[in-house]
Amino acid sequence: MTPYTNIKNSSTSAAPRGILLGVARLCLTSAFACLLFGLTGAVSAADQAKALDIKYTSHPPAPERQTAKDADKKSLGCMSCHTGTDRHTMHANPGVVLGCTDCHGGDVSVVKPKGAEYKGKDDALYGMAMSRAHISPRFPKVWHTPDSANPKGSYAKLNQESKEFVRFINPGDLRVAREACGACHLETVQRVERSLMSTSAMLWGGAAYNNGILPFKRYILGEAYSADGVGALLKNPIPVNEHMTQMGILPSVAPLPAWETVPPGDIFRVFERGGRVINSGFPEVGVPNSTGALQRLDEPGRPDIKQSNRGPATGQRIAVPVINITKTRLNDPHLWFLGTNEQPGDYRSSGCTACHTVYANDRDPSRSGVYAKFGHEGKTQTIDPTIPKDKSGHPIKHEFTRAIPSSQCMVCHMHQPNIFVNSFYGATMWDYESDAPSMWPKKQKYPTSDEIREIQNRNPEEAAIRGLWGDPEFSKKVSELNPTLKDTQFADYHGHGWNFRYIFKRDRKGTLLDKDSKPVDDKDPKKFEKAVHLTSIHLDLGMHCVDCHFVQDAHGNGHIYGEVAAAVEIDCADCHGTSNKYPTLQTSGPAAQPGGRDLLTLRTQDGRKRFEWKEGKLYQRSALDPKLEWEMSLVKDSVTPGHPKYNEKAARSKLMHSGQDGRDGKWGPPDPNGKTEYAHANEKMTCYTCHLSWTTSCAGCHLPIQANWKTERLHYEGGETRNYASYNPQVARDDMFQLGKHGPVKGARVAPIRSSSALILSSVNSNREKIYIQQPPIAASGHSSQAFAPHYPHTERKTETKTCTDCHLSQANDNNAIMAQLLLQGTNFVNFVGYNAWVGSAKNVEAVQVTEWDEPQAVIGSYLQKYAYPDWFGDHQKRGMELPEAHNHKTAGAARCLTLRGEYLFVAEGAGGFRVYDVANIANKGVSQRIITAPFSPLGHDAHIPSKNATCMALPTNQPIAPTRNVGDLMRVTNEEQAFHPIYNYAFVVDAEEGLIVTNVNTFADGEPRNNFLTRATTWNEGNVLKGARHITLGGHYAYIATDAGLVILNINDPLKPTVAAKLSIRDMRASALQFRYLFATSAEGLQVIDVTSPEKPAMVGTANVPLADARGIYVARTYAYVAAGKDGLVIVDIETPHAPKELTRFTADGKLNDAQDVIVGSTNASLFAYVADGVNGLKVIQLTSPDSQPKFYGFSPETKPQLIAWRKTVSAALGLAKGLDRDRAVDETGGQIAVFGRIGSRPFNGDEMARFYRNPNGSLWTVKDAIDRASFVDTRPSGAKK
Amino acid sequence: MKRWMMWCSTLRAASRSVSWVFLLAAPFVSMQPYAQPLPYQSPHQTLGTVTCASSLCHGSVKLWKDSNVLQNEYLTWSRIDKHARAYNVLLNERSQRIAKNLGLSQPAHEAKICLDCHAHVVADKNKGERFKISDGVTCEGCHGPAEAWVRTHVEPEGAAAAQHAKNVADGMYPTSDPVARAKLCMSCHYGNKDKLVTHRIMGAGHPRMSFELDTFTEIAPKHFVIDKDYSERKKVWDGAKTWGIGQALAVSETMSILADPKRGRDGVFPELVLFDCHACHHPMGENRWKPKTAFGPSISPGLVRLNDSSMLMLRAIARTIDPKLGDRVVQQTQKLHRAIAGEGDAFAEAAALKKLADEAVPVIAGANFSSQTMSAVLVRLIDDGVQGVYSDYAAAEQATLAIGSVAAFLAKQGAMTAPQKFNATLKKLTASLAMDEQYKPREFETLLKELRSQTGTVAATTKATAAVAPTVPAGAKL
Repeated sequence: MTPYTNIKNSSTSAAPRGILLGVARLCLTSAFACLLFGLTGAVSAADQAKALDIKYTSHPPAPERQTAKDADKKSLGCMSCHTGTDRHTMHANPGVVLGCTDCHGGDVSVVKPKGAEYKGKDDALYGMAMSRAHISPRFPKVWHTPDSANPKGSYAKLNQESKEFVRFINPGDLRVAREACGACHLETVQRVERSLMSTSAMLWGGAAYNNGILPFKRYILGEAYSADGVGALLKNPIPVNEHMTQMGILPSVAPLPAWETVPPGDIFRVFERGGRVINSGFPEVGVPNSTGALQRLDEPGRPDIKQSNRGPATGQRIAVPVINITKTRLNDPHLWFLGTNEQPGDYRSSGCTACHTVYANDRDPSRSGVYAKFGHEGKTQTIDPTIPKDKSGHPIKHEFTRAIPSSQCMVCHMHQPNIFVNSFYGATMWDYESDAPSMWPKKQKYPTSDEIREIQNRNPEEAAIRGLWGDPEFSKKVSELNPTLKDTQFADYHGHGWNFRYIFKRDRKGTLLDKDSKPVDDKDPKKFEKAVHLTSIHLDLGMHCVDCHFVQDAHGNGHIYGEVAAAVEIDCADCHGTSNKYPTLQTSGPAAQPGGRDLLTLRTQDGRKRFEWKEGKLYQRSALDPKLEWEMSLVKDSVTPGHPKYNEKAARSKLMHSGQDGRDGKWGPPDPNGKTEYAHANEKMTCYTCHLSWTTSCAGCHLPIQANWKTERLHYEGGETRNYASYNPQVARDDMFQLGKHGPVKGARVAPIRSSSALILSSVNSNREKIYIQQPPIAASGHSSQAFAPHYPHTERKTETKTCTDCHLSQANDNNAIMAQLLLQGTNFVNFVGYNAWVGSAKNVEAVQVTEWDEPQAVIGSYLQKYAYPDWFGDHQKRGMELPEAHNHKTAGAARCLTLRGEYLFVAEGAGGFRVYDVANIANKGVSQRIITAPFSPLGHDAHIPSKNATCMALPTNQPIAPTRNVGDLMRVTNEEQAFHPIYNYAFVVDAEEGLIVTNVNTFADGEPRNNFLTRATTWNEGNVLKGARHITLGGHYAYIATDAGLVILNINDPLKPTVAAKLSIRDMRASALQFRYLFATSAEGLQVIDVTSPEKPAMVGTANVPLADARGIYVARTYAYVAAGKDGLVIVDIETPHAPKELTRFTADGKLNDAQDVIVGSTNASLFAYVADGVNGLKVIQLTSPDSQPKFYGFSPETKPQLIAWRKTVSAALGLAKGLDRDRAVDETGGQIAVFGRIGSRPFNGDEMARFYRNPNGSLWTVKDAIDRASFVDTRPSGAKK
Repeated sequence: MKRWMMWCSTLRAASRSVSWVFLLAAPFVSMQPYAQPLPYQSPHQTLGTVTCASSLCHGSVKLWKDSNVLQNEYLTWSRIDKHARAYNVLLNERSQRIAKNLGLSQPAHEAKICLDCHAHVVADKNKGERFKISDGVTCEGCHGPAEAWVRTHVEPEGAAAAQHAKNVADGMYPTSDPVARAKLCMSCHYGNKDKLVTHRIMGAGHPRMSFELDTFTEIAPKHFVIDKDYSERKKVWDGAKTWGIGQALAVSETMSILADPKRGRDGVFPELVLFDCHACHHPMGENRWKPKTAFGPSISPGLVRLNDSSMLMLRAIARTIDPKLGDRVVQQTQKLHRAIAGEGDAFAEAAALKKLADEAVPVIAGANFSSQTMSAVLVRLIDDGVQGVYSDYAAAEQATLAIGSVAAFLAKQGAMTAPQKFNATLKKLTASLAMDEQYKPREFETLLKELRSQTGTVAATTKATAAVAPTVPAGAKL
């Protein structure tokens, strides 16, 4: 059975009744889903009241065929004013026979009155005729009738208009396209209605699953409307069988429920049951008793932070990401709505017209092609005299085309701001830091509420309200700043009001490189001309999106999909072939019809054959430029010795043998029997695993919701409600290259993995109390929502590809950090230290506020603060760089080890044992004691395990997880999720006297407040082997414990029955940090390195010793180890080659940093920061890189240039710090999955798979080098074929 | 090759089921076959292949149930019709060499002399905005520039027959009419007043050409099905008649060239492409001359023989359907041969033969092609060969194509007793023609004798069990 079917006669239920039936059906399968499907009947506020009462007369649908004479009659009156048009029927094909009213409706009998000439809308005679001929809207103000331009930000307002009016302004709108386009293109219209470009199912589904809102990885939500603008349930045209399910086809998608009715997916404390009503904290919708009179009778003493006194989905006990989907302009608008028509990159129509009618959006020909010359302000070139040429919001011409420039795709594919079309362009979202002086106002801006709303309606990023680019007049000229810029170059498109920076070729240290990989000086004024801009090689050829994504990729194949990767028709090999086969030019992607599409029959808009073989060479013609064609690279030629296109580097990688031969480096053409198996064969990995120059990772995004913002819904019924969440990218990086397994739909091949929207949520209630801050949600699978997904980065290059040492152990052993990154074990570099740094001290735990609350969340005293908040930066300097705000709680002993996970702080506090503090209200001004042991009586909550001397503790991950959610057939079978390793249920505490204490901590992730008690699951200290235990590091199911005798490695594969894996004598070992194959330890000797490739057989790396007098805490981030070295301050050690560590610098901040006990490192925007627990001196904040100090700051691991930027004395001596949230760690060292993976069946590598990258079956290592070794070439071809 | 024959036989079988339609149709001759200018001569604009190729027009992957045409014509053309690649051939090494050898100032793909047949060449003013010369022999290259009829040919179904007539009246080229079609195909495959593959072009390296209208119509390949709505809109012609008309027009076209003092001559020589290639192109040691009897004994050794293959075919048809006309064809051809040999005015005789061939066209078109008649034609074709008439390769080739066409017609009529046996021998006959330079007349005659014994023509009431594949020599090229 095949997923492809004839869909011409399929049924689409587009009526409200259909929705109800569909919902009822869904309810049968899931009681949970039932809760969600109460579409609210909210009325659009102000505009609705002004609706004109108009009786519309329906115009018959356009006929499939008619005589030319009949058609001409339908244009007569129209053309008395519209005396000229670019293409009468919009179609280039004169075989299309249509009159104006066939598509637009309207009254053709109205003819321009004699003597009336258009002199503006006040011309009464003309105006009256116009209003009779045209169809009037119900809301003339919204559509600024009679102006013809698309209005700005119309969103859901189309849903409130009659279908007659919608058809009049855009016959291609999906509400009415069946009547106009459908005459001939009905099948295509139906495909488009079900395609992801209309339903947005991938975004809604992904958001719902990754944020724990809906447990369905086979998504159930998608956008669609009936002709009347009512939300509709879409059904697949044929029943979905098992095979189709495997291909990613969905049976139906239902409308998005109103956000007010969606229960929270999060386990935050404010969403727990109970609580008093907070009247003003409620949104004004759906509250039957808004005065709360009854609830006031509640007894005193109940915590008043809970968001409702009723059940889930009341008050603010709702799912924040759904507010985001509903109201925050992110992905939307999509095909059901017009473009927002307000900024370059936002001009377009809706439905069919959205793509087939080109608007001027971008001045760069590589993105706009032949349309670049028409500017980027959405102005028209039409010959129609009635259309104003100077008003934005008009198509370039009254004309359909298939020559669609990428700039048109980009109007929607702007989001996510860091991928796909952006990466194809070699660009990613700007990080607010590079060239900050040009982008922020000299004087700090204090935007008014009006200004904020005006900007946020266009641009959801809060930083824009303070930056210069909040002004569209500034943003549209940002690229004109390029010649004056120092650290980056900007692109010339600004959809959503965003800025995009170009990615340049750099080495791992961040040095710019030219095409020959020679360094380009940071001070060279022409550095951005010399350095390679890492665009897709396809873009460089002049290609646009439509040069690879043909008719089906644009329209869909008629089935409903949830994942983009599953809905793609084209595959690299279709055009490039593989190492042993020339391309077939038949599409073969997962959504291709059986046998594929014959690309050889395709033609460009201007009439040329798109593909053609000529004398053994394959050519493609540009879809955009009638003069452009290019020869295709054929993989087979590139690996055939003797062929003019032979490329030894390509041949070596593609013909690298698999198995032992490959590990020995042997490569060469297939033997005559064709039995040679290849390591990198097309069946095993996607082409773009290697053929990418960079991948993007959005390692962090902050969604703060504010109850006081009354804002519009951008979907469905529209209208206004309170609550708004802005959208704030924090760390969009281009230096993270990570691999994993794609889902079965893509052949379960190895593919690049990106960090995909690692969200953190905050909420400010109507009293401006921060009721939770920067909380990562938990995915429906219980995994961390710091999500990852396999993806196609669209950054293909020929030279700047991935090479051997990007994925395998280098012979020089200088890629330990690269391997940790690659395998998704994380590098501790992009870790998120948010609003607060969490310090453990001799007698306290303490939260010190280290960033601004406003966006961007600049670290106080940092480069970014200086430019984004010059006044506040000045205040900070005036305070002598002292941080003003902190909160603490006393402990029962020294808190040296602490971990923040979710709203809980896990602390080992010496004689006080192990305690979990509730820190949910750390930023809530309405709560006096911000850190508490329990929100209510110890009888109801006691998160404490007494022990004799709890010296340290560790959680398997500091990302919030809920292993208890990841059970049952829905997860295991339907969603194809991996189970959690049992260690993830526990916290591991070391006690100097008692040994290892293991306790189950799942209670903090179950949303149930009444069971928060801790008990020892086990206490283990066999043979007193853990005597004097003082530090614990977890690496998968191995625990590395510092004891009196040195290092003890425990195997905790069964966490309740640890066994000793190995022991290694180290003199006074104090702390350790793990990176891939190496454990870095501090001891009486200083910094020592231990090879833990096999944790059962650890080996001291004899040569690796950096002597330090008083090494204590240690943190490893990429190629540097940061050692808190007592009076020597912060010692930064280069560990790029772990067997030969080199001290880079000792930083004491001119002697101010002289009692360093512990250190952590994290990224904020583009900069790297260290936080040091400086003993008696308290907390120190150090900016490690900034655009001022280190122009190479975009590198994988730029050399650090420490600068003290802030400090605060803690109430007692600062001893330890909680590590920032891991944002690039999806899996542990033994293969246990931590973070959620988008795409069904996709996952990080398991332990065995990881080992295959560098270990022989007997456990020994094999290594690679990038230089080609001729001796490894094995030519088994018959002698005649050799050259 | 084998696959290709099966393809043809499939097509034949497909059209067999509708044979009753044309049996009932009254004999009809297009009254003004020459009134329509050939597509390249049309005064209208050529819009370009992409206009036709839309997936909602003639580029549909699926056949339309409710359409009177298949709607996938573009795909058929694009994928398997060699006309679609005619232009690309000009880019290959051989074409570039030919152009160089001819001393053309432009490469083959830019030279008008090459493009004239390898593409649809129109005047600049007639090039539509999406016209592409590189598309080779295109939709509009055969069906005529669409400017004047593109809007109306999609009008709602009314009087269907009238609709086609209206399209033709608006400038669509009437390819369904065999005379018009022959004129169109032969404009390249034989040459006409504007274009001709001369002996010089052949000398520069152009491959040998052969053509037979009916066979080539089938293998083009056909992108239409003759069914009910087709016959309602257009006249249906059976293959044998198409073959006959094609032969008469071939003679006419050849003669018009021969008779033309400019085109028919090349310096002191006549235009040698009109003559039998193998008259000269054989090793000098090999003397295979033998008196030619078909058109009289006057052809002597050493004389360069006219390529008279089509005349031989016309002779066979004419003698059967109109003996008087047959005699005149024989006589006039004899006269021509003699004139070429020096006994008379070759130009005048050629002109006279042209006239006679033109005269034969309506006779053939109007004749009643019963199975008896066509059986007689088949026997005649074979007997001629047995008697050594096809001593030249070109004649043998045409005869074999003809035997295939006629036999297929008879098989469709159920007028062959053992079509499979016949077909098997025909295959052998075809195989013997695989290499023109290794043609052995004796062997060919022996095979023809075998074929003769298998004709077994009987009354039309005998039911045939299977169709016979039409057969063309392996060397035949488009």
